[in-house]
Amino acid sequence: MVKVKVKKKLKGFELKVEFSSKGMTTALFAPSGSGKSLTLKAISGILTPDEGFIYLKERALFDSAKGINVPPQKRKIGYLPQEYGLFPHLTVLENAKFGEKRKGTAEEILKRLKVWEIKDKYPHQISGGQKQRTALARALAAEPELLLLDEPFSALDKSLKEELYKELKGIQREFQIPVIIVSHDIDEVFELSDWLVIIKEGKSSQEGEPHEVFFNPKDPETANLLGQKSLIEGVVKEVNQFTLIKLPSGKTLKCRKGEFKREDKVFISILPFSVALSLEKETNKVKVKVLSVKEGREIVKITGIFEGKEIELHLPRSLRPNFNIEAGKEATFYLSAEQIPVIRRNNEEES
Amino acid sequence: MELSPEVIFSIKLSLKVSLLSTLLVFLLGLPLASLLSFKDFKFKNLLDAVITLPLVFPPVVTGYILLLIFGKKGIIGSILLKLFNFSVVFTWRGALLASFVASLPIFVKGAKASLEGVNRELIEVSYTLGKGKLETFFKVILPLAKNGIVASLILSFARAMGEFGATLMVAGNMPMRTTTLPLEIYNLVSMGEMEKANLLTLFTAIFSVGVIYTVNKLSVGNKSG
Repeated sequence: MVKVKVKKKLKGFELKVEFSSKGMTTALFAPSGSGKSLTLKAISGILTPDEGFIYLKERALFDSAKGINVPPQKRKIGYLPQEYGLFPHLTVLENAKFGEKRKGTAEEILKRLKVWEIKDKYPHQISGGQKQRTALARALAAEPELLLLDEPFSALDKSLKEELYKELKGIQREFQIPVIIVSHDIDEVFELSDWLVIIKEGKSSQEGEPHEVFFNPKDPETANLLGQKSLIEGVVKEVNQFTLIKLPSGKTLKCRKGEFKREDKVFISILPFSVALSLEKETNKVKVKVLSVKEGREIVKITGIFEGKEIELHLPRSLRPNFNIEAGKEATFYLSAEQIPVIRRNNEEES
Repeated sequence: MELSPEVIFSIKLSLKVSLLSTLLVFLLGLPLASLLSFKDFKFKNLLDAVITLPLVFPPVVTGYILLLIFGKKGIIGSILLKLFNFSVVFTWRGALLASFVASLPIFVKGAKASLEGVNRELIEVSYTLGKGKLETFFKVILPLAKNGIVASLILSFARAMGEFGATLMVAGNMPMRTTTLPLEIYNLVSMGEMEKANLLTLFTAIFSVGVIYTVNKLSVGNKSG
């Protein structure tokens, strides 16, 4: 849908992003200050890359090799900056009509997004959620072929976020418009996107369907970015239906299948949700020294020591009676092999 | 008290010179301020420095330099004289030139700050909504910088009204020909006509308070908007 390969040198920073999204909603995921917003500016045409290309479907927006650089005015891309970028001197309606393609569409979209009642108010008179809807309406009224959203939900509270997620998905279905969304919230990425691009320090490092990327992080840093905190060193012993990993204690664990060879040095990632119910072919029986048990409303959070590392495991509340867990004592868990990512370890990192 | 023809002439001349000067300052200063705010080019700093110079130079020195340039033997003055038999110095046009040069930097500095204060993101959004540079300037940048620009314009008008040193050098002090309000006050005081001087001073004071009041009001509006 969107193919991007751009390079741009800036003062003390180099942007080098490459991805080819096969989804309708692409998430650019990275910590703040790693060049996600710059990538959006390059796609929208505000920032001209030094070299590379940007294609929207078959349409070339930028191609340094062919000397193509479509100006932002002609790209047909809706851009929502982080603070929504509403014009403070214009009312909600005037904002929405600013780039309107056909008469009457702005009014229609304002009604569709439930901000018609506030059409005569100025941006400083409306709430964060209303600002966002207005900015979205303004972008849609210009009939864009791609929407760029820069951390659109970061300033909003949780319940409003969930409402707006639904709204955004509805709009996408209705307008059939691809979206690129910048986010540093992994839950948001999984909620909204069907293609994930990871950007680290200005460089894209991995892309794919979100769950594919999540369960196959390319390197330990990517795993950390994705919120995987408990990494345990190991060595590949066998590759079959699973990857068999020998851990420091000598115990072997069945983990997720991947492209590994025997003796490869790897990390395995213990995920909170890898707890399964019984010892089938697909699970590993492990003993964990329990440090603490936090009885939550929906899940029970258990921290413990496994292979010398602190890990966290989550149980659904309803399964709590099946487990005999007490802080300070050892407990038995079954970890699903499919849910244990294996991550390649670089040789340099060992030294 | 009856106002003497000299006093009335000086008020009229000052208003005419200052209004014309402010118009010219606006017409030339706005493009200059936009250029300095949004474009990068060679000698940008030099251009900025040249415009700002009259702000730091003693007005008499500014006037002297203008006299050298626009005088009968000056680079521009001689050409104007030859081609159009037109002289700037020692006419009311000299007063206009002096006021213009003295008040241009005040407007350009203020307008530039206002233009640069407009959030770049809004400009970028306008581009993605299909608006070109000129349309964006008039629909987004100018309305948002408006208050600051108007305030700077009022200040530059006030500077033109108060211009003395450079005017004295370029236009001279010729009664009923080039005596602007400040020059007339100076003449009245030096002739010992204190009553008339006081009246003109009162007029100036009321005018100045009005200017400060208006500028303050505009800058408050800028903050809340």
